Amino acid sequence: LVRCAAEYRHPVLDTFLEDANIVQKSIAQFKAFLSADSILSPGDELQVIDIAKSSKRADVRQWAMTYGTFCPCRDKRLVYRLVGLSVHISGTCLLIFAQDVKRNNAPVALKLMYNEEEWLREQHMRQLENGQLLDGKHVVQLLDAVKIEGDAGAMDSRLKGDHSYKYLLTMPRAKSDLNDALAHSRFAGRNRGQVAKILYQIASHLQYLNEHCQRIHGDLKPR
Amino acid sequence: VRIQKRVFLTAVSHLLTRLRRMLHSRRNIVQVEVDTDTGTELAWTLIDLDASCPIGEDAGQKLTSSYVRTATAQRLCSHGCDCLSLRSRSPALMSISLFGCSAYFPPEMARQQLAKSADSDGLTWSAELQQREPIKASVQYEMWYFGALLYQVISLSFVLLDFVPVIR
Repeated sequence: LVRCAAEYRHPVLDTFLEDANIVQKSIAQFKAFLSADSILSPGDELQVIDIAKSSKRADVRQWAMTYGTFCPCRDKRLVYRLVGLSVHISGTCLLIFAQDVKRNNAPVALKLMYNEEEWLREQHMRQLENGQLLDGKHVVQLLDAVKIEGDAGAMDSRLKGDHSYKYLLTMPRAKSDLNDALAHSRFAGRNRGQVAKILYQIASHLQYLNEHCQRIHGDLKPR
Repeated sequence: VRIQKRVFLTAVSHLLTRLRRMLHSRRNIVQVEVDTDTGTELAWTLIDLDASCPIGEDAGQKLTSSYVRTATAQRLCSHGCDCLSLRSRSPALMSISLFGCSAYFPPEMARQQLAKSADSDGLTWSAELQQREPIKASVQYEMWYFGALLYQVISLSFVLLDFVPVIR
């Protein structure tokens, strides 16, 4: 592992190499070393993880393969393997992609929130007055909604934000978003058929929400 | 050459990480796989109902991620930022859209948020901004967002609302 790090020659890893004897001592100390924010940023952590995955030491490889597993509940009924860095951090939430280990590693998006009212509203607004859930064709359904038992940021440094996130929503991971499509497919203003198709679909979702469910989305935005 | 290659790859890695964070910022319209009679197909749908509310109730119970403090808005205004529609005194052009923000307010909500923000900052805005009537959720309110979206998907160069000249 140390040899790999030396070969990689990433500037941030110089610190890692200086204290390389830690790696020789124990995997627990190595873990502690990596999770110390003052030394490695989350992005650099991932690079070290990549190195660790090709280590000759089985315990190092094993640790690297399970790095980033996030269990929001103490009874471990939900287990997610985090994928990459957080994709969005705002004043209200943190979003990160993951694999749902309990659902055959299905790709999901985890939305961590700190405001209980917004967390509850997100769930409440998916239910009609008669208790029925909104039609999944119009609004992406939630897979799980739980209070996080513990400090998410302490479980994984990628889950640290401006706030200590206490609430979690799990949704299926989308294939892409409209901003990506607009930025890469270059159909905006050019492909009338595609634009009309998108607008028609979104308008039908809004019509369903406005007329059938008697509510508004309230935050429609492509980017 | 080997060192330069490493430096290059490291730089590309960092760039991709940053791009990924930038491109996958929070949006509320996503493409998902849906089941059809003949299999599955991709369709556009909505996510994030944390700002949703029943029609007739107070809208804007959740501060959107485009929330900005009054002091910031005033500072930008004083720097002659033409694309910041806050400069305009016309209510029709009062949509807030600041650099780096990903969401937009309808003008009536912009006025309300600015007035609230001015209060907490101890600053005073014009009487025009002091509209305190709570904004009610309505289809019209939702249609403002749909109109903004429509503008973006029919624009030739994927124009961001931030850079639309105020005169438009």
